Amino acid sequence: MRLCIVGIGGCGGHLAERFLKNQDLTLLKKSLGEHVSFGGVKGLWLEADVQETENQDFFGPLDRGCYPGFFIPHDVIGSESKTSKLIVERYGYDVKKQGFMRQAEFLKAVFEIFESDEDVKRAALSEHESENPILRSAWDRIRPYTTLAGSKDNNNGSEMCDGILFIISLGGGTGTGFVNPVTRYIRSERPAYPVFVLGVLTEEGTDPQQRAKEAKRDLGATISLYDLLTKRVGVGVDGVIVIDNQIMVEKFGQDYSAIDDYIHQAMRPFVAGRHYPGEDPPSLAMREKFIEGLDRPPVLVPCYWREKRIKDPEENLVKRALSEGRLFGCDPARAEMAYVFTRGFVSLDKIVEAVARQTGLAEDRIEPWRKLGENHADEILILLRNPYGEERGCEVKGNLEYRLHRVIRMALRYMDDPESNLVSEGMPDPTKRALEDYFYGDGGVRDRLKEGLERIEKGDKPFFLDERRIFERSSRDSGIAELHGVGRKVGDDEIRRLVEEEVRKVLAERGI
Amino acid sequence: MNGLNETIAGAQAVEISPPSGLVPQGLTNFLAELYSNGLLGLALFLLLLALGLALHRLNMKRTYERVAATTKGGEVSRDELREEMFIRQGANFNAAAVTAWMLLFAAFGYFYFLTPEIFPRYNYYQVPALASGPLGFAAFGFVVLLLALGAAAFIPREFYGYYELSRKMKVAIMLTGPVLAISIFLSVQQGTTFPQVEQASRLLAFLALFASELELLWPVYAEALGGMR
Repeated sequence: MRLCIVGIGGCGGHLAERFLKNQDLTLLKKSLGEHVSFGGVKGLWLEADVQETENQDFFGPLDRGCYPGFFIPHDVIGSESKTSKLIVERYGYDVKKQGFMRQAEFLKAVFEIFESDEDVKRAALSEHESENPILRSAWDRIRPYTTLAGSKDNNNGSEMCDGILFIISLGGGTGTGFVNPVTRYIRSERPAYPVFVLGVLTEEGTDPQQRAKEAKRDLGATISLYDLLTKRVGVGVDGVIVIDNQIMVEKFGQDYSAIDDYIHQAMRPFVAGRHYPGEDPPSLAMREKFIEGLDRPPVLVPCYWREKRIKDPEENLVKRALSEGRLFGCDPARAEMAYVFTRGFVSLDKIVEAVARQTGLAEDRIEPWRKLGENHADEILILLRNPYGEERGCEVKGNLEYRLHRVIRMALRYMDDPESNLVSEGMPDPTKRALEDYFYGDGGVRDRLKEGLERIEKGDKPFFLDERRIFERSSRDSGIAELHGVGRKVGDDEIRRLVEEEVRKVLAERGI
Repeated sequence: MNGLNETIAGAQAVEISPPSGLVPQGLTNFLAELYSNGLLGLALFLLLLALGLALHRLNMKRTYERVAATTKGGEVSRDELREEMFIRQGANFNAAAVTAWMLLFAAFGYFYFLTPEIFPRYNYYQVPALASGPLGFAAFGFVVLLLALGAAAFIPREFYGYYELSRKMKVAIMLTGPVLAISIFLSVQQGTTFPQVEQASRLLAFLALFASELELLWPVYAEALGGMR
């Protein structure tokens, strides 16, 4: 397994930097040789804010041949672009906007417009030779690092990435808004290509960096999680690894650099090379294991521990990882499966037995992958699949349900706050109607989040059910059609009746 | 010629300038004893190398045994394991490491075999054509580098390819290059001022040489030391 690390947005960029840091020596930050990252990963940073890219010196402009590079996808749309003007006039969205300041629905809306509005598609096609130039340009920058690269870029496939790990902050910014559309775009080309997401849920209270209130960020996080977790397998991502920054802040204070370092350290067993002989699964195998028996992507809670090498370390490693090393609150006993990545010398049987003992999982629900370690330490990363589902579990502090219940409640509170101005007065009427319907309409986000809260309280899995879009669904989407803002809703019975009538008519015309 | 060397070596005794007071007298005397004893120096140099090689083999063996012990059936392909263990350290580091190893051998050659005071019978002055030529020192170094090339090309790959090296460790290994260059420079200076011997320079060149050798072998030693716990 070799992953392509794609950081999206500010947080994604900071974390991707840790993953992509050159392990080779550099002189004045310049390397004469090939860039060597830990685990052989490759990747890039997608950002929407030019200023953010100017405030750092790790990533260089990808289009100037820099590696590691950043890319601003919406730069492909020129300022005088017909497509851009059409979208502004018709929907009130400026695709050239710098950054998205905790507005998860902004990018969601923009990409839905590209997917569903035939005029926009035509304009984009004539100008950019693509119906969705922003996503296409982003994918065009990612693809060369993957096994899907053309023969020009593909070094016989040996050094290429066979899966993608998107790294985002679940705070409503660029990462939140971009990850779903870009995954959809990749899926339209390769439905089975492994795509995982590492999402960092922002901490409680006001974000000191962006001064965004918790409730606003929580709405962004909720929308993003909702979209990530309700896409069908083969349409959306193959697993959402969640990290709670609240836990990190309690551990490291406001030292975000130390937090980023720790998150990277915790994920090292996942991305590391140096497998035990014969235990190097391709990302595709990992994907199959992650989604086994599911029709929607799972939530994966990482639990990490590292300690100096001792004899028979398995029991202690597992115990400490599941108790002190959780990167998101959860009840390990509720997990459906456990994916175990170790670095060091551990016995396969003992590690499976230890995880089974500590979680109550059957041994066939535990998938271990071992790698060689370093510096006389043993490490373990356990990804617990969907470790929630207890009735009234949301009342137990430290549970996944508890945290998500709070996030969703805060999101609902923000939606109901008249000051939040989610449906801005300055927007054109169709957009206002669509947003009104999306947020507050019958079966809109508010209804669905309330339903989600109820499901969490009852201990139902999954807690989010059906995908919800702002605008009409595009023809590419394989889901059930929904109309928002225009027309009326059509029930299953009515569709059945209409189809039967049409079939009868055709048969009658043919004299059958 | 041998007689001449012995005469020169004997003459140096009266021309030795005392080392600076940076190091305590007892230690200075001990080190002076150490670096002026050619056979001891040679033995120490080779011992450190041989120990590094032996510990590297031990580390590899230990890794194999641990992997085998934690593998069902206890059977692991050694070749496959070696392949998995191998880590690309980067072209810049590899270049720096090869250079440092070549400089290590060159510094060793310059320290012990340039002037006749340590090995009166085996040194640069024994080859009059070289010693009296305008590029004699450089030619001497070039010959040593050529001799060291084979070993230097092989050793870094073998010694560093199987260990996770932190960037700090890599920087430390890279810095042995300049340190060894200082050692060479000081030895060359000794060669040009010979038969006068500057003890402080000699000591510094000696320390730079052996500290660098230790640093270059440190990843292997550290792994072995940690593995003993």
